[in-house]
Amino acid sequence: MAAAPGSRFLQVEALNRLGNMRLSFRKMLEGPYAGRHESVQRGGAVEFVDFRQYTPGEDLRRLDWKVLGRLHKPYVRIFADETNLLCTVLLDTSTSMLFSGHLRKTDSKLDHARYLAAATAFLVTRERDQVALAVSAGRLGEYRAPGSTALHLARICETLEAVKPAPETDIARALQDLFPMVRRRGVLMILSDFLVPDLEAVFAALRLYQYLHFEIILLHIVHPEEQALPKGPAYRFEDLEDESVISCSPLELARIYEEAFSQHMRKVSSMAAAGGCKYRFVSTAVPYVMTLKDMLVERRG
Amino acid sequence: MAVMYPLALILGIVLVVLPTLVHLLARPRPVRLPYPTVRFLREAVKQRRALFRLRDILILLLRGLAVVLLAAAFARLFTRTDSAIALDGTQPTVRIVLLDVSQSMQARRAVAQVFDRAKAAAGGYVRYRSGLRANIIACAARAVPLFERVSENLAGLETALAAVEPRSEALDVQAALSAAAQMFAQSPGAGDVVRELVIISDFQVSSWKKAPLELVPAGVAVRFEQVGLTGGADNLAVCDVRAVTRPRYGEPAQIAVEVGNFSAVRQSADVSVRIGDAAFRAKAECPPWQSGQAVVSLPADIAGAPGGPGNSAGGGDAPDAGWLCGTARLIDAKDVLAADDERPFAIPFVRRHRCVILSREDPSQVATSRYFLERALGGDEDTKILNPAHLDADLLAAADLVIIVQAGRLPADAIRLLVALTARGGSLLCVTETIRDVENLLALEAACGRQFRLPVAFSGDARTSGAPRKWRDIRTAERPFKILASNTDILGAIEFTGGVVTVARTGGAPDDVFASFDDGSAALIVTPCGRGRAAVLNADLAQSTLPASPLFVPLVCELVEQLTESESGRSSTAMVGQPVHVFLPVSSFGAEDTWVVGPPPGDDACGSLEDAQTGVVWTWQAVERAGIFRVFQGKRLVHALAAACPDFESDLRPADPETLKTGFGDAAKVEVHRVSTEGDEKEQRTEWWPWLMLSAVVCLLAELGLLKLFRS
Repeated sequence: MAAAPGSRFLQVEALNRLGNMRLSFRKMLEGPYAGRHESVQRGGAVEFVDFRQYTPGEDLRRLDWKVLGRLHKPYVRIFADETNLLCTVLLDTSTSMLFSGHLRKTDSKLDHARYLAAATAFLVTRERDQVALAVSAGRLGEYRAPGSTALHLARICETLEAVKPAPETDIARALQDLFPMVRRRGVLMILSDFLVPDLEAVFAALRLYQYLHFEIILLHIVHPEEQALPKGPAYRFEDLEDESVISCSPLELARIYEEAFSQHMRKVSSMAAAGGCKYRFVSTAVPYVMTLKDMLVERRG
Repeated sequence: MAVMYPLALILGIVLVVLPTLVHLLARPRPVRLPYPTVRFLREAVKQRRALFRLRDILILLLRGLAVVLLAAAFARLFTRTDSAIALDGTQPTVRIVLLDVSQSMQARRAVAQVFDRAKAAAGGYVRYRSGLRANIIACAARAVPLFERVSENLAGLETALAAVEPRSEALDVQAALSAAAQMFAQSPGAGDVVRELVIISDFQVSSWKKAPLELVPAGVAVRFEQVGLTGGADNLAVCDVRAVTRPRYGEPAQIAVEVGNFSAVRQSADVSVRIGDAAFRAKAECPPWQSGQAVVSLPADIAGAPGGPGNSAGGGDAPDAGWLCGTARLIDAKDVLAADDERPFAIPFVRRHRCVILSREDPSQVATSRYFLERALGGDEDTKILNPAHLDADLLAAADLVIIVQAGRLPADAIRLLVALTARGGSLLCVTETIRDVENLLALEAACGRQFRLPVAFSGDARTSGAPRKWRDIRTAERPFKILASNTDILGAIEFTGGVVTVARTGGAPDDVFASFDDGSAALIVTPCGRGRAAVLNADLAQSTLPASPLFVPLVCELVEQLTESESGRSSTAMVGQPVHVFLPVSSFGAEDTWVVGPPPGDDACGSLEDAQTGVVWTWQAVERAGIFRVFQGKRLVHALAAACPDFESDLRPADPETLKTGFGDAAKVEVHRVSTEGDEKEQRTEWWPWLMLSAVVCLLAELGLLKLFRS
């Protein structure tokens, strides 16, 4: 597969180091095409699942003649069907995702998310699975419908390149907007820092997808300097979203801040667990490839 | 409350803004930082803002306080302690200042003399203020007020104070307080008049230990102004000069100079004794707080010169006119009080005693008491026998010892002469053979009043009892029996047939009985009589085996020596400021032909000379100054007197004035104030700078603690 020309977020050479690792999912999927993923449909695949009494009109090729001879009753063998994967990536493009650190410069959270999104798209399309991209900008912004071609990957990369941070973002609304567009069960991967005013609304929106048995993966992107205030005598902290300002000495507030932030992380984590979502903490200090590799290894079990 | 350096305080108050400025200037310039999680910061700030504000206020307060405290410390903030003496104000006040002018006030270290500070302090108390009436009493052995009574003429008082000089006297605290009380009594004033007594002294423990503070009238505020030297006042002093052996004409003599070491270290003192133009040196080793002795040996030509080298006025041709007069001085003494490094002395030469035997017995009779005594005394020309019926008043008045034996009833004139004799130091020896002889003793006792009191009463003749009596209870450790101590067995064997029976008298002094008979009667009595002594030998020597004893003559001679010892060997000394009353030897000269020559300048009167029945009497209410006073009759030196300060005045150890305060009780307004060596009033104020410094440090430490507390 050729990389999308000019896309800085798709680093194929780096991703090739992952070898034959691929995204695997625990839940049965529902895809339009045959693929390598277990489908909710029962079909003619190799893996035997069960016997079922023959119903007139069924394909006689699935009839188990040995059982018929032994029992004098027609039974058909049921095999697991395999289908392709539909992975929808929702990218949070709020301005808070632009933070790239002060003393310890890394990629911004948004860039890191974009790298991850591109890599995910690459991995998914490499397996002939379909990937869709949704951008949360205020509400649902850009949306790339599922596709599995190289061209589709290139378009996704273009979309990632063209992402403009939105001063405000409402992931819950974006999820609600996205829901009608996703008709089949699949995987929903959310790349966000979850710095939202109403976290409960986000998980309420996610319940929509839960009902459809989506496998939801939350990638909580955090910059190291978010976890602890930067060292220094005094800072004028300017909010990236609402532009409010607080001047203070980090030393005086460090403990309270760290407490509050870790509480926020715990809250996201616990709400994800409660909602049946897969939660993963992603630090921008860790190369995204490593993050991805760990995730693939973990999912492969 | 006041400050010593107000500028520093003003500067400090200005600098109070410094912490605020430091806070503002040192406030870190915040670095702009776009941050995604300001919401959490906002919560933290909201949570801590009140605390931070409190912290900032507290820190600012602590810093400001520290600066103010440091400024106050550098400005030497002090508070004047609540003073019993109102130096300011306009309330009517009667203030008496007792200024110690005793010898110890001449102590000095470097150039600072204690008395100068005392005078300056006294001047401060009589400085003009409205409503103040004051007087200063210069106190030593005598209390001399500068003004007759308290006065508003404070300028005149200060002028009079300028002329006050320390005297070579010891301080008589009782006289000083009495004078102050008298002065207060003369100036009662109205009810709202404040009465204050300021005592400026070095408060020597020797003078103030038993100060009769009850003499201070009630309601008088008292301030003890202590001006003595601080940090130890080592002093050496010549305390006494006396003859080691009683100087006799033509014989070498020894003079002992007692050097007092009033310090805690052992000291060695070089002593120079000057007699006329001759000077002799010796060394004394003085242990701490003890005295050492320097003994000077005088050659025979010094001691034997008629009148002695010190008697320059006429020299005198009579051998009994001789006196050893001079001064003993410490050489290069390193001490704080120079006034007591020199002491005059006047030691009379020993002369033969002039003895008069009063007896009605025929002088040709032998083996009588009179006979045995006469023979024991040697019967030379210095022993005269007088018949009381034909008294020679001059002869009797010039006697050193009068022996009354078989004298019968003495006439009143004789009794009066004997009283005068004892008044000038003469002594009596009365032999009581019978109860009749006791009558003379009783008459003498009646005439002398409280000056003579026998320890026993006489009840009758012992002869009637028949059995001979023997001595017992002999006080062999004392004179006159001390020289016979090894022969007490012989004394115990002596029998006495005569004498009088005595019984102990109520209130009598039993120590005056030196020997008793086996029937309990007193055998030998020696008791004070006037300025001399009276001895009673209760025995009829004619009926006794005593004269036959080999101990008789030594015993009589020793007894005579004991009775007349006051006239020889000791220095004739008077204390400056104390009264003098000297009975001059009887001579043909009267008061008009007698004069006293004092030490330089010598242009003032040295008491008065009056004719008395026993001769001329030299009386002086108070010796004015130290030195040797010589009394001449014609060209002959008849008496010499060395006036000096009492040796206890050399002990400069101060009493604790705080203990003096306790003598007034709790209700009295009493305070102690100390004038320091530098002359400023350190003790009057309470210095706060160490506490202020400490408080500033505490403030800074509290700030650190506060920061740590808030950070945690």
